[in-house]
Amino acid sequence: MVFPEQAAFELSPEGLTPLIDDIEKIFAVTLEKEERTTLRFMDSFDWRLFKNQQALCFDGHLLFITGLTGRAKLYPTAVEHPPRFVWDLPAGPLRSYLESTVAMRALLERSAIRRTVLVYRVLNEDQKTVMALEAEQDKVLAGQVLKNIGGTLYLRPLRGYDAEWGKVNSLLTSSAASGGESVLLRAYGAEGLRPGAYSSKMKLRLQPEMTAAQALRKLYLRLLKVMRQNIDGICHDVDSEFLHDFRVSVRRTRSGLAQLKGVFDSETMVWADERFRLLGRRTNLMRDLDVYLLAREQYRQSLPAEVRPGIDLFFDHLQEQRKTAQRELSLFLKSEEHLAILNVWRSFLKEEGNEHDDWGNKSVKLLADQAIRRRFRRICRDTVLLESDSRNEAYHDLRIQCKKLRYLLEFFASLYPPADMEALVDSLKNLQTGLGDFNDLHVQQETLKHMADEMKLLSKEIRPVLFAVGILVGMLHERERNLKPTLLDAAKTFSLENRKTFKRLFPKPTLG
Amino acid sequence: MTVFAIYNIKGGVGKTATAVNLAWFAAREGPALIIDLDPQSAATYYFRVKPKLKKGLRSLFKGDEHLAANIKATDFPGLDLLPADFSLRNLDLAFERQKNSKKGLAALLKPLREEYATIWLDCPPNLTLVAENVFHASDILLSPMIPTTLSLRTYEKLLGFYDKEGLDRRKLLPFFSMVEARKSLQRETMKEMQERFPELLASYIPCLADIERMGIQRAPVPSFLPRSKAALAYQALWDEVRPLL
Repeated sequence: MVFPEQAAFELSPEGLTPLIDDIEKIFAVTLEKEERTTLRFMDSFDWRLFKNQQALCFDGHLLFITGLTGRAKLYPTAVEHPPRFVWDLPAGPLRSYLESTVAMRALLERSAIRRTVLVYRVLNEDQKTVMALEAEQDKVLAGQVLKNIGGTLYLRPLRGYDAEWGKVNSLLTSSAASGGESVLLRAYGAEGLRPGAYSSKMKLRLQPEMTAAQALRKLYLRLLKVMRQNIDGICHDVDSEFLHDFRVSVRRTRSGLAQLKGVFDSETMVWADERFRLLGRRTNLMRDLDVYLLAREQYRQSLPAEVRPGIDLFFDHLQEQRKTAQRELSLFLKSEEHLAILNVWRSFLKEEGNEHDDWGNKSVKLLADQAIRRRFRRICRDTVLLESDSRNEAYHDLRIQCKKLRYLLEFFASLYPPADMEALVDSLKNLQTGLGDFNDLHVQQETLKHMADEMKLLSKEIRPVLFAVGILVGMLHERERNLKPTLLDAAKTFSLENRKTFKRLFPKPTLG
Repeated sequence: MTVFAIYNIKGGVGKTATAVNLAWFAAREGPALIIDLDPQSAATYYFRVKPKLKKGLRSLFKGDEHLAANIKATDFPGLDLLPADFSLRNLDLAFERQKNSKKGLAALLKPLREEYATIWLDCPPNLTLVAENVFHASDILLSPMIPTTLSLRTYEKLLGFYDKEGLDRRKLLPFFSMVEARKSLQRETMKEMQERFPELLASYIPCLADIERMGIQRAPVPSFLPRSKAALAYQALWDEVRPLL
């Protein structure tokens, strides 16, 4: 007979005693030991580990990755207390795994289970142990109250005692449901969490029957929701990605307002455009500082050792600036001014009857077709005019155009065949990656120049730093130049490859 | 994987107690199997297992699955037991019917080598084909003996038998069991044997009531009296034997 490794049964909060009583009708049961642990389950704000059906778990001694059952212990690492960020961990397989999944996001404690484990021996008439029972009883602190959320009963077989195991297994199968698969879900559920509910990805479901106004209301409300969800994280300075996600939603909103005109009454649109531009501006400094500081180690490594003290001085100064910027941003986000923007926008989007005559009541598909078609045409035209020695600005402009197209494809993806959209987006992504690298080279040069400028104010002996920076900037500039032909090629390929598809998916409306 | 046999032609010298207690220590360091070859099934009794083999004697010769189906987990993690039952009284006849009558046990143990770090053979007190199979199959033969002159004679006879059969006498490790150190005759015998036989183990097991308790507790001594003199004596014996693995 083959035992399943462990038979596991669902335990309701008071369910253990009746089951033990049932078993005692056929075998003696004695308690061998009782253990208590606290299990803390951690994940990023956007549930990066849960997406892999995992969580980071700390049991008081070991930190490890676990699955939905909570039994697996992948990459166990001894630590004093759970880390806030991946880089707080010592180097090793756990850190490497978290670097690739969670990256720079903070590890937030999402649920803590107070677990009591009761181990029983089941005895035959010779007082021989014929199997073991392991009962996990879990409690979660909900508010001030310790809530019993049930648990799992495991039946552990002992070699050579199949018949006995079979008897108890049958008994338990008839009185309890199979369990153990969802310890993690139970823990999160008890905390009132819906794991995976937050995502910064655009997964908007539109129906082709919707009018443009209906569709855009849904879009803007979704973006507004994401903004609100990130405010607390920004104010408490949890990690750099809350601000990033907030700003992406602001950018998407602005892109919608700019590219999809004529859907709502213009007064409000002008107001919205102004306000969202303000939001972008007010968050710029903080984001720039975050980006600089995230690259701190990279700059330390790429510059010669002698100039490192100077680099450190620079970044420490940035850190100071960041503290101030964070305080100011936090105040702004909690201010009347800011909340008013969000509330007014929300009220507007919840109204009916504010459509504009041009597009408001037309089919959203017609709007989408036109916007996408036009943006693609613009990219094709720009590409035709592009040459391998065109100014850098021309390439940056192309990057912006691609971004605009990407946003449109993301907004309206649900209106078109998924396979086609996937292929288009993949093709666009390829082009965008190259343009992104190009932009990155530019940003690095700017950073280094900024560094050099700041150093002049801070440090006495900065000649070695300026020299090193000069060399690096030169190298980056060279790489920029060499990248252009590749980008040109990629841009031309993109427009050629997708011409037919764009024509097919986003057709010009037929007259009559 | 090392196969230990606990053997003496004489009964009542502490073979089973030795097998059970040493196997308990061994199991804490790697998976261990104790095989009860004595139809009196004392080792089986000590582990609270029923003295019953599914399909009796034939289960030992019908193939791996039949043997494996009889192995039972004891109450102690890492320690399994192949129980004895009364049909083992004819084990020597069963071996005789085999092609190679002295290597039958070694063949039986082969598939188990993968699963266990140590195997412990608790042997019946006789010199039949069963004992010869044990001599061939074991890597180390521990022989407990009570310190008397007759025990020395018995050991010499065992050495002689090994030599005659072309077996490696270096596998033989005698040690003293049920020692009553107050008795001067015992002390003298121990001294004499130490002089004549350098292979004699330094550790010995005193005569202790706690060892008798095993029959009541039905468990290895270190599991219910971990800091007793008995447990420490077997611990010392295991420590001396372990480097031979």
